[in-house]
Amino acid sequence: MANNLFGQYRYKNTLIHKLDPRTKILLLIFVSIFLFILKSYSSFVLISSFIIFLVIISKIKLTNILRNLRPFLFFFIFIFLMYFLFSRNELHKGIITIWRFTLLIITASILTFSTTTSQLVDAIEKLFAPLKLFRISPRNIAVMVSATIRFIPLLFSEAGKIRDAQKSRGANLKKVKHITGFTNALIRKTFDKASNLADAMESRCYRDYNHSHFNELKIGIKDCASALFTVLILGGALWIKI
Amino acid sequence: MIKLTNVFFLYNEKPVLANISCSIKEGNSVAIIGHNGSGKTTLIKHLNGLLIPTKGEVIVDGLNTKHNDWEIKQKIGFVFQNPEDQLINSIVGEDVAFGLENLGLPSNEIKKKVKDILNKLNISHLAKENVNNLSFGQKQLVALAGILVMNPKYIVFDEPTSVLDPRNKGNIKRIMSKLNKEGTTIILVTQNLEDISGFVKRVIVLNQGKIVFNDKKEKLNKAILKKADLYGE
Repeated sequence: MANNLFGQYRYKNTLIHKLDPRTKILLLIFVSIFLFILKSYSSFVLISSFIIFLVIISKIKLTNILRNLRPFLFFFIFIFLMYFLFSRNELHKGIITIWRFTLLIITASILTFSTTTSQLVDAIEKLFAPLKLFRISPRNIAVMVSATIRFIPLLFSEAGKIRDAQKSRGANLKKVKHITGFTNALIRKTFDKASNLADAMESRCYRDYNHSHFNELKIGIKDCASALFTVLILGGALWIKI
Repeated sequence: MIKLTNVFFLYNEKPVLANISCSIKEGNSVAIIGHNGSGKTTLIKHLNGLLIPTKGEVIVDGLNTKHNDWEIKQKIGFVFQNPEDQLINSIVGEDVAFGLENLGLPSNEIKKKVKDILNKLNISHLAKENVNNLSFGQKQLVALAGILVMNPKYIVFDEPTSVLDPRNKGNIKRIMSKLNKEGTTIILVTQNLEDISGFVKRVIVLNQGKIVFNDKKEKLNKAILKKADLYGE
């Protein structure tokens, strides 16, 4: 599951893939805010059409989108049942809520499918640049995010190995005593991995100043046009009816 | 040249390295061998300033690791035992570029160097792959590419073949040998005596944090290996 949620970038030669990651992050934030402002079916239909258009032009497979939505299915059913059982006269609100979260997940999926971790990290670093005023290094924050994304699948795999090793020695992971043993082993492994990673980073001359970027970020005409187009669609949705 | 003079390293007040003095000349190929816990990894971590000696000094091309660790890290590449632990970015090309970014090279130069090194190691087809989807052998090559791209003068390999299958083991050995022929100093840490066959010219044997042998490979004998607990019956 971790591999599905993180590091799911797939290289495709599309406009969405070529956009500056900062544009994509800011537009994702912008769309998310609008999804929470809008409340009517008609505006949701317009935004949904726009997001489906984005999925099509970014050439993301429908199966990948559905795979990202699957973990939230229980959550959606829960919301629907709550409205259905306790607030049936406001059922449309429940439908809008589920619709909203579905669109949010799809929009976030477009970002993660079309943007590499390093591009995301570079964008975060640039967007957090004002933090330098408070002597906080944006590079350190960006690398922390990158390392976390990179290591989550690894930690899942380590957790699987520890669980198997403990089960093979008769551990029952429903018992608190055995859960403690499992957790201790996982924490120890995590610290080991963090220490090794720190050594590897240091060995490759890591520093949070005077560094360059593999991907040079540039806001171009495509970014401006995409931002304008998104703003027009969102404005249209707002104009139709909140 | 790398020169260690009377190096002591204490961990929890226990000596892990005791009075280590040796030197490694440019272009040489040296194997550091010893049983588990003999101090091999601690010793090599001193070479590029990852660890600083409690007493004594490590000098690399005239630079002291106590004061010039960043400059020294550019000279000494470090390939760790487990490639999983040293891949920092999720995409192969971007991970290989990590060191060059830290050196502050321009983006177009980084891209050219990354492309060249991936071609050299015959893994250019992996450039846009997610590292989590690679085999262990491929991960080891990507980790090596991330070091080679920085063009270090010395490369330390910390038991690089211990977790590889025979085919990948052979591949890494061939690469080490080729690099040495091209002039790179290779420092190989291993506890497997098979690994020192071939290109290795000199052997340093460690036992309980002390050097018990430091000479040409041909002079290594059974008695020394027994003394270092490296000779199985």
